[in-house]
Amino acid sequence: MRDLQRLEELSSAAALGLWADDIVLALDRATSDAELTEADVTLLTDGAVMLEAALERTEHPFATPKSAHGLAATSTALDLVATLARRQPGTNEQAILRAMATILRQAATGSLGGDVSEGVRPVMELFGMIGEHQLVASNSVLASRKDLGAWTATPLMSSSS
Amino acid sequence: MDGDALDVEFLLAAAAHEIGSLRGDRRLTPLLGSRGAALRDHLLDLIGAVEHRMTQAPPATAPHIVRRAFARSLRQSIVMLQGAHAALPWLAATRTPTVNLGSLYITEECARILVGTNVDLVVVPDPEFMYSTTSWPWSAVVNSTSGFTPSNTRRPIVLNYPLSDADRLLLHPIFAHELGHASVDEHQLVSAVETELANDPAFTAALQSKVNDMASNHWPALPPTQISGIIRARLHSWTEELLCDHLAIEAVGPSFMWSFVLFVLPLGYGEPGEAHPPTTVRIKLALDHLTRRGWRPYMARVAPDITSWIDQIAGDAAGVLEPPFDFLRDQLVSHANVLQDVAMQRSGSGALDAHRSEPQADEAADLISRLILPVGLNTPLDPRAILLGGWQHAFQEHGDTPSGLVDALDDRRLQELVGKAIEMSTVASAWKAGA
Repeated sequence: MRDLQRLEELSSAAALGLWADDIVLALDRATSDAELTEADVTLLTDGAVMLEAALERTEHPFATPKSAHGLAATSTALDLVATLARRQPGTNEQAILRAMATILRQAATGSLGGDVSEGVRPVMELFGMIGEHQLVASNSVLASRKDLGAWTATPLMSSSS
Repeated sequence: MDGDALDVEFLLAAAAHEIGSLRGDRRLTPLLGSRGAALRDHLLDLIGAVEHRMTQAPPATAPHIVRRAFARSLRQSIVMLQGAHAALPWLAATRTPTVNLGSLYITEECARILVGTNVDLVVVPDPEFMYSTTSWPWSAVVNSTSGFTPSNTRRPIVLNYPLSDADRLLLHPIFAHELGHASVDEHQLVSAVETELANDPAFTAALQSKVNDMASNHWPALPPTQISGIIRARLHSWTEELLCDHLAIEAVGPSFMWSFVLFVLPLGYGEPGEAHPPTTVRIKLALDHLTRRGWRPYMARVAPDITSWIDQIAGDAAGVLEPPFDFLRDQLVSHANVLQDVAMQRSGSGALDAHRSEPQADEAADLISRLILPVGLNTPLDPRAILLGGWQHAFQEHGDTPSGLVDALDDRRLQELVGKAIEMSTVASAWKAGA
């Protein structure tokens, strides 16, 4: 990584976390008496779009998102949804993603049913987990040392490999 | 407790403290002239975005999970504000530029060609040995703040160069590569390449085959989705680096190749990185691009032995690579024309033309050999051709050999002459244009 690009990486990591936490706040407004703003509708719709893109990746592994941001967001979501699926025997990642995307779309259009807290809570938990994950990530970037091998950096394969 | 009233009270005070610390810094006071002004405005936009977020607290009756999310967004904002302190020395540097003025003029011309006219270029020495760049460093955070409208629309670009290289003008074509990153971002050039790849059935078939191979033989613990994601991310990074090399070639021609070899070859040869292709692959693709743009005869004429040596290095690009790096290399080499096309389309008429520049470079080299400031006898020479002429003279003076390439860097008199000539040529051209 080129040193100055640490700032862009910090900004990207923070932005994804802020966005995820904003969705939690928007979902709260959608399920309370507060009036949904246009920005809330956009946030909730974007959240649904991201989960649908993640779902698409599970169904078509070779059709990954083209933007680096989309790739990072869906990769993080997939990792965390896999964790949720392991916690809930009998569920699978695709079912979780599909159900959550539906709830976000309903929230964005104001068509959530009567008692929605049971359905909304896991969505808040997922986006809260993304927020936590990204707070750790941005702290890690902020604290990282300068990489002097910038132009020909030869880092080891990522730990996932 | 995380997100309770006391925690939020503390975080709001901490964020206000960070903002006060930034706003109170003398380096953030308005600047004379336009250099650094967009960077300053961008930093103020970050502060404005955080201040906007601070007003978005959920009601005290909101569930704990919601209050925690708000607290986390404050913490995330504070992390950003702390990171933003990095910009203060850059703003200070715009008041006391240390880089050679001729080099600065050429870099600004490259920025206009590769990125556009609406840019704010801040060139900053790095006490450590590093060339790097960033532009719109906080835009992701600013733009993700719903309900906040940033005031700055001019792209700030910060270029770092090693402090020790301030007067090593022959290395400064590397700046053109760094500006390539801003160009790639501004004009979404990686996406343009990725679209071409995605439309090529041979590429998609090869990707599928490589993912299957990795899942079966190398990364059996990972699902295909994750393997595909890792390969795509690395392909994205490699494509960006190669595009930056090609854009630099468009802007400054063979000068980039010679400075690139000087700077990069001592650091690595055929080793792949997650973000960077092997040097051998970069040199091969750069050489192919220079050949397509008509520079090959010029390079072979002014530095035949160095060109032959670079050819040998390029020949090693086909060496064995670990998977999946072999896939990245093979695909990018077989789609070299796509990378070249995207760079050529971006540079347009601003590209350095071999046929027009060669006689100017010859004239500059001839003047230097007679210790005459190589501005041009009849009309001001193109600054980028003067730089080429400087390289030509360096080969004559220090030898058409790998060690001669290195020795040229120690020739401070040559580089001062070239820098001054570029400065005078730029001033003369601007004066003529205004007359």
